[in-house]
Amino acid sequence: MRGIQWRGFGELDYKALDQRQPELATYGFNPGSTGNFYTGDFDLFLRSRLSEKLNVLGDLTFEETNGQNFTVDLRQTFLEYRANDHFKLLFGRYQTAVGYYNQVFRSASWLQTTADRPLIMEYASNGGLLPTQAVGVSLAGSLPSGGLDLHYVAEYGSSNTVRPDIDGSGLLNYEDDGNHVLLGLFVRPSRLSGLQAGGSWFHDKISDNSAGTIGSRYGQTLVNAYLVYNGHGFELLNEGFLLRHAELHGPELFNMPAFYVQASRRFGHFRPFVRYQYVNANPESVFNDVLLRYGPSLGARYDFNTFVACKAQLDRTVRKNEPDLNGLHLQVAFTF
Amino acid sequence: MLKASHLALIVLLAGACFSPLLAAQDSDIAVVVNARNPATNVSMADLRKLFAGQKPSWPNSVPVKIIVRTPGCRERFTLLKLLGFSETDYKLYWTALVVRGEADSEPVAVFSAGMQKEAIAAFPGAVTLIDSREIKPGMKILKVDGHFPNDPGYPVR
Repeated sequence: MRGIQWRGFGELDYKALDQRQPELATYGFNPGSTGNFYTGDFDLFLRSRLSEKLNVLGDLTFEETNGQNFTVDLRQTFLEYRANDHFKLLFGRYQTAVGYYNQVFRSASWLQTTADRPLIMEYASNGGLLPTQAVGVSLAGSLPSGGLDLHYVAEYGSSNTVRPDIDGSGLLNYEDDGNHVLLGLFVRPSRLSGLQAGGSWFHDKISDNSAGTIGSRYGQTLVNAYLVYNGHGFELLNEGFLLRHAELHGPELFNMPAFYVQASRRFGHFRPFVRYQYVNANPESVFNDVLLRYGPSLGARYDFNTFVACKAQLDRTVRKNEPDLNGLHLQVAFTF
Repeated sequence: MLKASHLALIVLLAGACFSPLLAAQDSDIAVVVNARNPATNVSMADLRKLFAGQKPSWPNSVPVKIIVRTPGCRERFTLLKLLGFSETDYKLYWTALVVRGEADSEPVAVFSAGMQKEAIAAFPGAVTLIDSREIKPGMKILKVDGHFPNDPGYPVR
Protein backbone atom coordinates (compact mmCIF):
# COMPACT_ATOMS: atom_id res chain seq x y z
CA MET A 1 0.00 0.00 0.00
CA ARG A 2 1.67 3.24 -1.13
CA GLY A 3 0.83 6.79 -0.07
CA ILE A 4 1.14 8.67 3.19
CA GLN A 5 -1.18 8.37 6.18
CA TRP A 6 -1.51 11.63 8.09
CA ARG A 7 -2.69 12.07 11.66
CA GLY A 8 -2.82 15.49 13.27
CA PHE A 9 -3.02 16.53 16.91
CA GLY A 10 -3.54 19.95 18.40
CA GLU A 11 -4.35 21.60 21.69
CA LEU A 12 -5.37 24.90 23.22
CA ASP A 13 -4.35 25.51 26.81
CA TYR A 14 -4.95 27.92 29.64
CA LYS A 15 -2.65 27.73 32.63
CA ALA A 16 -2.58 29.75 35.83
CA LEU A 17 0.02 29.61 38.60
CA ASP A 18 -0.22 31.31 41.98
CA GLN A 19 3.17 32.95 41.85
CA ARG A 20 4.94 35.41 39.59
CA GLN A 21 8.40 33.88 39.84
CA PRO A 22 9.01 32.35 36.42
CA GLU A 23 8.59 28.59 36.47
CA LEU A 24 8.81 26.08 33.65
CA ALA A 25 8.11 28.60 30.91
CA THR A 26 7.38 26.15 28.13
CA TYR A 27 4.76 25.58 25.44
CA GLY A 28 4.04 29.30 25.23
CA PHE A 29 3.23 29.76 28.91
CA ASN A 30 4.59 33.20 29.83
CA PRO A 31 7.01 33.19 32.76
CA GLY A 32 5.76 35.45 35.50
CA SER A 33 2.18 35.41 34.25
CA THR A 34 -0.63 34.57 36.62
CA GLY A 35 -2.44 32.91 33.75
CA ASN A 36 -2.46 32.90 29.98
CA PHE A 37 -3.66 31.02 26.92
CA TYR A 38 -1.29 29.18 24.63
CA THR A 39 -1.50 26.64 21.84
CA GLY A 40 0.99 24.03 23.03
CA ASP A 41 2.06 21.49 20.45
CA PHE A 42 0.66 21.02 16.98
CA ASP A 43 1.73 17.56 15.78
CA LEU A 44 1.66 15.95 12.39
CA PHE A 45 2.34 12.22 12.27
CA LEU A 46 3.17 10.82 8.87
CA ARG A 47 3.43 7.14 8.08
CA SER A 48 4.07 5.39 4.83
CA ARG A 49 4.42 1.74 3.97
CA LEU A 50 7.27 1.29 1.51
CA SER A 51 7.02 -2.48 1.18
CA GLU A 52 5.52 -5.47 2.98
CA LYS A 53 8.14 -5.16 5.74
CA LEU A 54 9.42 -1.60 5.47
CA ASN A 55 7.71 1.50 6.87
CA VAL A 56 8.71 5.09 7.44
CA LEU A 57 7.31 7.30 10.21
CA GLY A 58 7.75 10.97 10.97
CA ASP A 59 6.50 13.17 13.83
CA LEU A 60 6.68 16.85 13.03
CA THR A 61 5.86 19.17 15.93
CA PHE A 62 5.20 22.90 15.85
CA GLU A 63 5.76 24.12 19.36
CA GLU A 64 4.81 27.52 20.73
CA THR A 65 7.60 29.44 22.44
CA ASN A 66 7.74 32.85 24.10
CA GLY A 67 6.25 35.73 22.14
CA GLN A 68 3.83 33.38 20.35
CA ASN A 69 6.59 32.28 18.03
CA PHE A 70 6.81 28.69 16.88
CA THR A 71 9.67 26.26 16.49
CA VAL A 72 9.66 23.08 14.44
CA ASP A 73 10.88 19.90 16.09
CA LEU A 74 11.28 16.62 14.22
CA ARG A 75 10.53 14.48 17.25
CA GLN A 76 10.68 11.20 15.37
CA THR A 77 11.74 10.09 11.94
CA PHE A 78 12.74 6.51 11.32
CA LEU A 79 12.75 3.61 8.94
CA GLU A 80 11.21 0.47 10.36
CA TYR A 81 11.98 -3.02 9.14
CA ARG A 82 9.61 -5.64 10.56
CA ALA A 83 10.86 -9.11 9.72
CA ASN A 84 8.42 -10.92 12.01
CA ASP A 85 6.97 -10.68 15.53
CA HIS A 86 10.39 -11.44 17.01
CA PHE A 87 12.48 -8.91 15.14
CA LYS A 88 11.69 -5.28 14.41
CA LEU A 89 14.48 -2.84 13.55
CA LEU A 90 14.16 0.95 13.75
CA PHE A 91 16.81 3.24 12.34
CA GLY A 92 16.55 6.99 12.76
CA ARG A 93 15.37 9.41 15.44
CA TYR A 94 13.10 7.65 17.91
CA GLN A 95 11.65 8.05 21.38
CA THR A 96 13.79 6.11 23.82
CA ALA A 97 12.33 3.28 25.88
CA VAL A 98 13.63 5.01 29.00
CA GLY A 99 10.13 4.89 30.48
CA TYR A 100 6.71 3.45 29.69
CA TYR A 101 5.14 6.91 29.41
CA ASN A 102 7.73 8.07 26.88
CA GLN A 103 7.13 5.05 24.70
CA VAL A 104 3.37 5.04 24.80
CA PHE A 105 2.12 8.62 24.81
CA ARG A 106 4.46 10.40 22.42
CA SER A 107 3.91 14.12 21.96
CA ALA A 108 0.16 14.33 21.38
CA SER A 109 -1.81 15.69 24.35
CA TRP A 110 -5.00 14.09 23.04
CA LEU A 111 -3.52 10.65 23.73
CA GLN A 112 -2.91 11.49 27.39
CA THR A 113 -5.49 11.37 30.14
CA THR A 114 -3.85 14.27 31.97
CA ALA A 115 -3.22 17.72 30.55
CA ASP A 116 0.57 17.34 30.78
CA ARG A 117 3.26 14.72 31.17
CA PRO A 118 4.73 13.89 34.59
CA LEU A 119 7.87 15.98 35.13
CA ILE A 120 10.18 12.95 35.06
CA MET A 121 8.72 12.00 31.66
CA GLU A 122 8.54 15.54 30.27
CA TYR A 123 10.51 16.14 27.08
CA ALA A 124 14.04 17.27 27.88
CA SER A 125 13.52 20.37 25.73
CA ASN A 126 10.73 21.33 28.16
CA GLY A 127 12.69 20.74 31.34
CA GLY A 128 12.37 16.97 31.66
CA LEU A 129 15.27 15.10 33.23
CA LEU A 130 15.71 12.13 30.91
CA PRO A 131 16.97 11.69 27.35
CA THR A 132 13.58 11.22 25.73
CA GLN A 133 14.83 11.06 22.15
CA ALA A 134 17.87 9.73 20.35
CA VAL A 135 19.23 9.01 16.91
CA GLY A 136 20.38 5.48 16.39
CA VAL A 137 19.14 1.96 16.06
CA SER A 138 16.48 0.14 18.06
CA LEU A 139 15.61 -3.55 18.05
CA ALA A 140 12.36 -4.85 19.49
CA GLY A 141 10.22 -7.95 19.37
CA SER A 142 8.64 -10.76 21.30
CA LEU A 143 10.41 -13.74 22.85
CA PRO A 144 9.00 -17.28 23.08
CA SER A 145 7.46 -17.30 26.56
CA GLY A 146 4.00 -18.86 26.35
CA GLY A 147 1.32 -17.00 28.24
CA LEU A 148 3.80 -14.54 29.72
CA ASP A 149 4.18 -12.77 26.34
CA LEU A 150 7.68 -11.45 26.98
CA HIS A 151 9.05 -8.63 24.80
CA TYR A 152 12.49 -7.08 24.52
CA VAL A 153 13.87 -3.75 23.35
CA ALA A 154 17.52 -2.85 22.76
CA GLU A 155 18.80 0.55 21.65
CA TYR A 156 22.14 2.00 20.71
CA GLY A 157 22.20 5.65 19.78
CA SER A 158 23.11 9.23 20.43
CA SER A 159 21.02 11.73 22.31
CA ASN A 160 22.05 15.32 22.77
CA THR A 161 20.04 16.56 25.68
CA VAL A 162 19.67 20.31 26.05
CA ARG A 163 17.29 21.15 28.84
CA PRO A 164 16.20 24.53 30.17
CA ASP A 165 16.42 25.11 33.90
CA ILE A 166 12.97 24.95 35.40
CA ASP A 167 13.73 27.28 38.33
CA GLY A 168 13.40 30.42 36.25
CA SER A 169 17.13 31.10 35.83
CA GLY A 170 16.80 31.08 32.04
CA LEU A 171 19.90 28.89 31.67
CA LEU A 172 20.20 26.00 29.26
CA ASN A 173 22.06 22.84 30.24
CA TYR A 174 24.00 21.16 27.44
CA GLU A 175 24.62 17.64 28.64
CA ASP A 176 26.81 16.59 25.68
CA ASP A 177 25.62 12.99 25.92
CA GLY A 178 27.78 10.16 24.72
CA ASN A 179 26.25 7.22 22.90
CA HIS A 180 23.75 5.30 24.96
CA VAL A 181 22.90 1.66 25.44
CA LEU A 182 19.42 0.64 26.54
CA LEU A 183 18.08 -2.81 27.34
CA GLY A 184 14.47 -3.36 28.31
CA LEU A 185 12.01 -6.17 28.91
CA PHE A 186 8.26 -6.22 29.48
CA VAL A 187 5.50 -8.80 29.81
CA ARG A 188 1.80 -8.76 28.93
CA PRO A 189 0.44 -11.87 30.67
CA SER A 190 -2.32 -13.49 28.63
CA ARG A 191 -4.34 -14.35 31.72
CA LEU A 192 -4.36 -10.72 32.91
CA SER A 193 -5.59 -8.79 29.91
CA GLY A 194 -4.61 -5.11 30.04
CA LEU A 195 -1.70 -5.61 32.44
CA GLN A 196 1.85 -4.75 31.42
CA ALA A 197 4.95 -4.85 33.60
CA GLY A 198 8.51 -4.12 32.63
CA GLY A 199 11.67 -2.19 33.08
CA SER A 200 14.73 -0.85 31.35
CA TRP A 201 18.38 -0.08 31.96
CA PHE A 202 20.00 2.89 30.20
CA HIS A 203 23.60 4.06 30.26
CA ASP A 204 25.47 6.95 28.67
CA LYS A 205 27.91 9.68 29.67
CA ILE A 206 27.01 13.31 30.27
CA SER A 207 28.70 16.55 31.24
CA ASP A 208 27.65 18.88 34.02
CA ASN A 209 27.80 22.23 32.25
CA SER A 210 25.13 23.74 34.47
CA ALA A 211 27.53 26.31 35.95
CA GLY A 212 28.09 27.78 32.50
CA THR A 213 31.57 26.25 32.17
CA ILE A 214 32.70 22.84 30.96
CA GLY A 215 32.22 20.68 34.00
CA SER A 216 32.91 17.13 35.09
CA ARG A 217 31.99 14.10 33.03
CA TYR A 218 29.58 11.61 34.59
CA GLY A 219 28.41 8.12 33.81
CA GLN A 220 24.61 8.32 33.72
CA THR A 221 22.68 5.15 34.51
CA LEU A 222 18.89 5.20 34.47
CA VAL A 223 16.96 2.27 35.89
CA ASN A 224 13.22 2.13 35.30
CA ALA A 225 10.46 -0.24 36.41
CA TYR A 226 6.74 0.01 35.79
CA LEU A 227 3.43 -1.72 36.30
CA VAL A 228 0.44 -0.52 34.30
CA TYR A 229 -3.12 -1.65 33.71
CA ASN A 230 -5.43 -0.36 31.01
CA GLY A 231 -8.79 -2.03 30.55
CA HIS A 232 -12.43 -2.14 31.60
CA GLY A 233 -12.42 1.63 31.99
CA PHE A 234 -9.49 1.72 34.40
CA GLU A 235 -6.08 3.21 33.78
CA LEU A 236 -3.40 2.65 36.41
CA LEU A 237 0.13 3.83 35.73
CA ASN A 238 2.94 3.24 38.22
CA GLU A 239 6.47 4.00 37.21
CA GLY A 240 9.67 4.40 39.23
CA PHE A 241 13.16 5.56 38.30
CA LEU A 242 16.63 5.66 39.78
CA LEU A 243 18.92 8.23 38.16
CA ARG A 244 22.55 7.49 39.02
CA HIS A 245 25.31 9.94 38.10
CA ALA A 246 28.86 8.74 38.88
CA GLU A 247 31.78 11.09 38.22
CA LEU A 248 34.22 9.46 35.80
CA HIS A 249 37.41 10.95 37.24
CA GLY A 250 36.31 11.87 40.71
CA PRO A 251 34.45 10.68 43.78
CA GLU A 252 31.02 12.25 43.24
CA LEU A 253 28.08 9.88 43.11
CA PHE A 254 24.42 10.92 43.02
CA ASN A 255 21.51 8.51 43.33
CA MET A 256 18.28 10.34 42.56
CA PRO A 257 14.89 8.62 42.82
CA ALA A 258 11.72 9.63 41.02
CA PHE A 259 8.31 8.12 40.52
CA TYR A 260 4.74 8.88 39.55
CA VAL A 261 1.47 7.07 40.02
CA GLN A 262 -1.65 7.87 38.04
CA ALA A 263 -5.14 6.40 38.28
CA SER A 264 -8.28 7.13 36.33
CA ARG A 265 -11.67 5.55 35.68
CA ARG A 266 -13.99 6.17 32.78
CA PHE A 267 -17.66 7.01 33.49
CA GLY A 268 -19.20 7.39 30.04
CA HIS A 269 -17.58 10.43 28.42
CA PHE A 270 -16.08 11.51 31.73
CA ARG A 271 -12.74 10.30 33.10
CA PRO A 272 -11.62 11.73 36.48
CA PHE A 273 -7.96 11.18 37.31
CA VAL A 274 -5.48 11.60 40.10
CA ARG A 275 -1.70 11.67 39.84
CA TYR A 276 1.09 11.95 42.37
CA GLN A 277 4.65 12.60 41.35
CA TYR A 278 7.98 12.81 43.14
CA VAL A 279 11.46 13.82 42.00
CA ASN A 280 14.41 14.17 44.38
CA ALA A 281 17.47 15.57 42.60
CA ASN A 282 20.76 16.24 44.35
CA PRO A 283 21.62 19.98 44.62
CA GLU A 284 25.21 19.23 43.52
CA SER A 285 24.06 17.36 40.42
CA VAL A 286 23.29 18.55 36.90
CA PHE A 287 19.65 18.74 38.03
CA ASN A 288 20.34 21.46 40.61
CA ASP A 289 17.37 23.44 39.28
CA VAL A 290 14.96 20.61 40.10
CA LEU A 291 15.87 19.60 43.68
CA LEU A 292 13.05 18.00 45.63
CA ARG A 293 9.61 18.34 44.07
CA TYR A 294 6.49 16.36 44.81
CA GLY A 295 2.76 16.72 44.89
CA PRO A 296 -0.60 15.63 43.56
CA SER A 297 -2.63 16.53 40.50
CA LEU A 298 -6.40 16.13 40.35
CA GLY A 299 -8.62 16.57 37.36
CA ALA A 300 -10.91 15.14 34.75
CA ARG A 301 -11.02 14.54 31.04
CA TYR A 302 -14.26 14.84 29.11
CA ASP A 303 -14.47 13.35 25.61
CA PHE A 304 -16.97 15.24 23.49
CA ASN A 305 -16.58 12.55 20.85
CA THR A 306 -13.76 10.36 19.56
CA PHE A 307 -11.86 13.40 18.24
CA VAL A 308 -12.12 16.19 20.84
CA ALA A 309 -11.48 16.13 24.57
CA CYS A 310 -11.30 18.80 27.22
CA LYS A 311 -9.37 18.49 30.45
CA ALA A 312 -9.23 20.38 33.72
CA GLN A 313 -6.35 19.77 36.09
CA LEU A 314 -5.31 21.17 39.47
CA ASP A 315 -1.66 20.79 40.44
CA ARG A 316 0.10 21.29 43.73
CA THR A 317 3.88 21.11 43.76
CA VAL A 318 5.90 21.22 46.96
CA ARG A 319 9.45 22.45 46.32
CA LYS A 320 12.51 22.42 48.51
CA ASN A 321 13.58 25.93 49.60
CA GLU A 322 10.81 27.49 47.47
CA PRO A 323 7.15 28.29 48.14
CA ASP A 324 4.62 25.65 47.18
CA LEU A 325 3.26 26.05 43.68
CA ASN A 326 -0.44 25.72 42.86
CA GLY A 327 -1.68 25.58 39.31
CA LEU A 328 -4.79 25.28 37.19
CA HIS A 329 -4.45 23.81 33.72
CA LEU A 330 -7.35 23.76 31.25
CA GLN A 331 -6.94 22.15 27.86
CA VAL A 332 -8.87 21.32 24.73
CA ALA A 333 -7.06 18.56 22.82
CA PHE A 334 -8.07 17.15 19.48
CA THR A 335 -7.06 14.83 16.70
CA PHE A 336 -7.87 14.96 13.03
CA MET B 1 -62.79 -2.11 19.83
CA LEU B 2 -60.20 -4.71 18.98
CA LYS B 3 -61.32 -8.26 18.81
CA ALA B 4 -59.29 -10.99 20.46
CA SER B 5 -58.39 -12.39 17.04
CA HIS B 6 -57.01 -9.00 15.93
CA LEU B 7 -54.94 -8.78 19.09
CA ALA B 8 -53.59 -12.25 18.51
CA LEU B 9 -52.67 -11.26 14.93
CA ILE B 10 -50.84 -8.13 16.15
CA VAL B 11 -48.91 -10.18 18.71
CA LEU B 12 -47.98 -12.75 16.05
CA LEU B 13 -46.85 -10.04 13.60
CA ALA B 14 -44.83 -8.29 16.27
CA GLY B 15 -43.22 -11.57 17.21
CA ALA B 16 -42.36 -12.26 13.59
CA CYS B 17 -40.78 -8.82 13.19
CA PHE B 18 -38.69 -8.82 16.36
CA SER B 19 -37.84 -12.51 16.72
CA PRO B 20 -34.75 -12.34 14.43
CA LEU B 21 -33.37 -9.45 16.52
CA LEU B 22 -34.13 -11.26 19.77
CA ALA B 23 -32.63 -14.45 18.42
CA ALA B 24 -29.58 -12.56 17.18
CA GLN B 25 -29.00 -11.27 20.71
CA ASP B 26 -28.77 -14.90 21.84
CA SER B 27 -26.60 -16.16 18.99
CA ASP B 28 -22.85 -16.59 19.35
CA ILE B 29 -20.26 -14.45 17.61
CA ALA B 30 -17.97 -16.45 15.32
CA VAL B 31 -14.28 -15.78 14.66
CA VAL B 32 -13.85 -15.96 10.90
CA VAL B 33 -10.58 -16.00 8.96
CA ASN B 34 -9.46 -16.31 5.35
CA ALA B 35 -9.98 -19.83 3.99
CA ARG B 36 -6.22 -20.28 3.37
CA ASN B 37 -5.33 -19.49 6.99
CA PRO B 38 -3.96 -22.72 8.53
CA ALA B 39 -5.17 -21.82 12.06
CA THR B 40 -8.05 -23.89 13.43
CA ASN B 41 -8.28 -22.85 17.07
CA VAL B 42 -7.57 -19.74 19.09
CA SER B 43 -7.61 -19.23 22.85
CA MET B 44 -9.60 -16.37 24.38
CA ALA B 45 -6.34 -14.78 25.54
CA ASP B 46 -4.90 -14.91 22.01
CA LEU B 47 -8.19 -13.64 20.57
CA ARG B 48 -7.89 -10.53 22.78
CA LYS B 49 -4.30 -10.04 21.64
CA LEU B 50 -5.30 -10.50 17.99
CA PHE B 51 -7.96 -7.79 18.15
CA ALA B 52 -5.73 -5.56 20.32
CA GLY B 53 -3.08 -5.58 17.58
CA GLN B 54 -0.62 -7.35 19.88
CA LYS B 55 -0.16 -10.28 17.49
CA PRO B 56 1.05 -8.67 14.26
CA SER B 57 1.28 -11.94 12.30
CA TRP B 58 -0.17 -15.45 12.13
CA PRO B 59 2.04 -18.49 12.83
CA ASN B 60 2.62 -18.78 9.04
CA SER B 61 4.07 -15.20 9.13
CA VAL B 62 1.15 -13.68 7.19
CA PRO B 63 0.37 -10.22 8.69
CA VAL B 64 -2.88 -10.08 10.67
CA LYS B 65 -5.52 -7.86 9.04
CA ILE B 66 -8.29 -6.98 11.48
CA ILE B 67 -11.74 -6.34 10.02
CA VAL B 68 -14.33 -4.89 12.42
CA ARG B 69 -17.92 -3.68 12.19
CA THR B 70 -18.83 -0.02 12.50
CA PRO B 71 -20.08 1.35 15.86
CA GLY B 72 -23.61 0.35 16.85
CA CYS B 73 -23.47 -3.25 15.59
CA ARG B 74 -23.68 -6.26 17.85
CA GLU B 75 -20.26 -7.52 16.71
CA ARG B 76 -18.84 -4.13 17.71
CA PHE B 77 -20.28 -4.50 21.22
CA THR B 78 -18.68 -7.93 21.47
CA LEU B 79 -15.34 -6.54 20.26
CA LEU B 80 -15.37 -3.73 22.85
CA LYS B 81 -16.38 -6.19 25.58
CA LEU B 82 -13.57 -8.52 24.54
CA LEU B 83 -11.01 -5.71 24.80
CA GLY B 84 -12.55 -4.02 27.85
CA PHE B 85 -12.79 -0.68 26.03
CA SER B 86 -15.35 2.00 25.38
CA GLU B 87 -15.54 3.47 21.85
CA THR B 88 -13.33 6.37 22.95
CA ASP B 89 -10.80 4.07 24.62
CA TYR B 90 -10.74 1.97 21.44
CA LYS B 91 -10.03 5.05 19.30
CA LEU B 92 -7.34 6.27 21.71
CA TYR B 93 -5.73 2.84 21.86
CA TRP B 94 -5.49 2.36 18.10
CA THR B 95 -4.39 5.92 17.40
CA ALA B 96 -1.57 5.45 19.90
CA LEU B 97 -0.52 2.17 18.25
CA VAL B 98 -0.36 3.83 14.83
CA VAL B 99 1.65 6.87 15.95
CA ARG B 100 4.06 4.57 17.81
CA GLY B 101 4.60 2.62 14.62
CA GLU B 102 3.22 -0.58 16.17
CA ALA B 103 0.35 -0.82 13.67
CA ASP B 104 0.03 0.20 10.05
CA SER B 105 -3.45 1.60 10.52
CA GLU B 106 -6.59 1.30 12.58
CA PRO B 107 -8.64 -1.85 11.81
CA VAL B 108 -10.79 -1.59 8.73
CA ALA B 109 -14.42 -0.95 9.79
CA VAL B 110 -17.15 -2.24 7.46
CA PHE B 111 -20.89 -1.67 7.43
CA SER B 112 -22.30 -5.13 6.72
CA ALA B 113 -21.75 -8.86 6.97
CA GLY B 114 -21.46 -8.97 3.17
CA MET B 115 -18.56 -6.54 3.27
CA GLN B 116 -16.98 -8.62 6.02
CA LYS B 117 -17.20 -11.68 3.77
CA GLU B 118 -15.58 -9.83 0.87
CA ALA B 119 -12.79 -8.46 3.07
CA ILE B 120 -12.08 -11.88 4.56
CA ALA B 121 -11.76 -13.35 1.07
CA ALA B 122 -9.57 -10.48 -0.15
CA PHE B 123 -6.92 -10.41 2.63
CA PRO B 124 -4.98 -13.64 3.40
CA GLY B 125 -4.41 -12.57 7.02
CA ALA B 126 -7.91 -11.25 7.66
CA VAL B 127 -9.83 -12.00 10.85
CA THR B 128 -13.23 -10.72 11.91
CA LEU B 129 -16.04 -11.24 14.40
CA ILE B 130 -19.36 -12.09 12.78
CA ASP B 131 -22.79 -13.03 14.11
CA SER B 132 -23.06 -16.80 13.73
CA ARG B 133 -26.44 -16.33 11.98
CA GLU B 134 -24.63 -14.41 9.23
CA ILE B 135 -22.12 -17.15 8.46
CA LYS B 136 -22.10 -18.00 4.77
CA PRO B 137 -20.74 -21.08 2.96
CA GLY B 138 -17.01 -20.79 2.32
CA MET B 139 -16.24 -18.87 5.54
CA LYS B 140 -13.59 -20.49 7.74
CA ILE B 141 -14.58 -20.43 11.39
CA LEU B 142 -12.01 -20.78 14.18
CA LYS B 143 -12.75 -22.71 17.33
CA VAL B 144 -12.34 -20.60 20.46
CA ASP B 145 -10.89 -22.53 23.40
CA GLY B 146 -11.83 -25.69 21.51
CA HIS B 147 -15.47 -24.78 20.89
CA PHE B 148 -17.34 -23.85 17.71
CA PRO B 149 -20.08 -21.18 17.86
CA ASN B 150 -23.33 -22.41 19.39
CA ASP B 151 -21.50 -25.29 21.14
CA PRO B 152 -22.03 -25.38 24.89
CA GLY B 153 -19.23 -23.40 26.54
CA TYR B 154 -18.47 -21.21 23.53
CA PRO B 155 -17.16 -18.00 25.12
CA VAL B 156 -17.69 -15.24 22.50
CA ARG B 157 -21.16 -13.72 22.58
